[in-house]
Amino acid sequence: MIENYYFLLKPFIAVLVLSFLYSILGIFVILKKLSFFSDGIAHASIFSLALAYFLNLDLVLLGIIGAIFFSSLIFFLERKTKLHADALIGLIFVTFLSLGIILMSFKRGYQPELLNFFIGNILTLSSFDFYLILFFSLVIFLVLIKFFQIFILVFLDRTEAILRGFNVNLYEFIFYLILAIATILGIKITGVVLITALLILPPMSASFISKNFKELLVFSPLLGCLNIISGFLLSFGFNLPLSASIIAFSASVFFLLFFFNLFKTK
Amino acid sequence: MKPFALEVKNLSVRLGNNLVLDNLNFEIEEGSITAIIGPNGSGKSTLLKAIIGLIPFQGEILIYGKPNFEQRKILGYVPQSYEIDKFLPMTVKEFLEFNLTKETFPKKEHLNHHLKEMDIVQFENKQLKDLSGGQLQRVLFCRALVNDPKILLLDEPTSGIDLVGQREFYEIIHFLNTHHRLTILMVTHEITIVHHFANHVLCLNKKLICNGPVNLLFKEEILKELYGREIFVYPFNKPPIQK
Repeated sequence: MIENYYFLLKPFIAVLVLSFLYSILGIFVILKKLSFFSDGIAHASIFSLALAYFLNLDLVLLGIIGAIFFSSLIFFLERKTKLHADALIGLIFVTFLSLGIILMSFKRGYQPELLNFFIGNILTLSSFDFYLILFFSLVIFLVLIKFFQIFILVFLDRTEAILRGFNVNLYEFIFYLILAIATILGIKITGVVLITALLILPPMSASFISKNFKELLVFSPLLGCLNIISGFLLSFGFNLPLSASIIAFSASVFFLLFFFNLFKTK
Repeated sequence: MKPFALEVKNLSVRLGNNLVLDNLNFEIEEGSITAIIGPNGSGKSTLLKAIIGLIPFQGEILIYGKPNFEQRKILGYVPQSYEIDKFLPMTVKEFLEFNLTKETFPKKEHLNHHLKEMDIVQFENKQLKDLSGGQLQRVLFCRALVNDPKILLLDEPTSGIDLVGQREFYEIIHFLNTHHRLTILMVTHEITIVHHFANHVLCLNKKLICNGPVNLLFKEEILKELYGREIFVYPFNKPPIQK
């Protein structure tokens, strides 16, 4: 019976690797208040995904190129205008989302891929995508390990980081890039609508049971992986949509720990 | 004469169309405690930001004879306020360890020394979000010290702290100045307390109104020029109102 599910092995490994990566990245995302950034990048990437679909190119690869462009554009506009980051992210979000929808409308007939862009479909993950996810996840992990202390310092207090002699703009840009690329890596699995949940739910839940930062670094990926495994079991056990099952389970864990924490402190 | 820790020459700062600092010229001697006073919006915090190099400016800021951008690492800074993310389960010790740079990172005993000195050991495993205002201020002080600065910049460091906390805070400043030979530059509104601890004062209202020994503060004409109205600084220049 189990051999019937071999086709799911690669997607499962890919999701598990991404979940681990997101659970660590998510800590920085919450610290730097960037959850709307990843949401914006995901939605704007509809344009690059539509373009890839239109030109018959690999969706994830062109999505990554698009993410690098969008995050660079947000970073540049943030520094050249007096507008707040969330307003700029909103601008990029709606501009490229609408362009993407227009582009898709040029394809005649029913477009199931359009729905996949929004809510994800793990079965569309190709072997090439699988290796692309592993490769970029590894690169992002290495960047995180290399600059871990600096990212924390920059996100905790920009002024202090400047005093320590760090080029904060450079490190913020590097983080924007890796976050944007990481966001795109998971789009085929959860779709653009739910991707941010994978980033923020594990660290948010882990913060309720962590007494210090080291524990947060352990509990967040553990919960992230638990969410994925449970989401898979729920999805295939009860024939439910996978991405929605993962996110619904993650949110349940969050609320469970939230109420547990609430009653414990009373 | 002692060398200058800080020299400011023809410093002007413009934020948008507003001239926030107008052609400041002054020097700060090594080992001094300087209070920067002035009304709200007079450019006190902007001056500190310019010294750190956070904002563009015209003129010259020299720290031990070199441009400020080259000397940032010998500056310590305690901000007016520090927003702690309630989400973050980070302990005091972890927070301070993250602030150790490569030069000081191998020396964990160095951090332990400052934890003891600032009386933080008792709450080093407490989470940042659970600290009182006074405890957080000590932690920020400790953070400013862990990389061995030569000049400490304090931006209204006692705002939001009770009187006992303020007293302790100024005693720490005095201790750091005498035992660590730190040059201290602090923005403050507490003229009556400053007089006990500072030995130099800069009165700022976009322009430099006064620059010299701290007793300048108790000249009515200077305070009037600085704040635009008569200010009585009890008990130094006026008796208390008798009922």
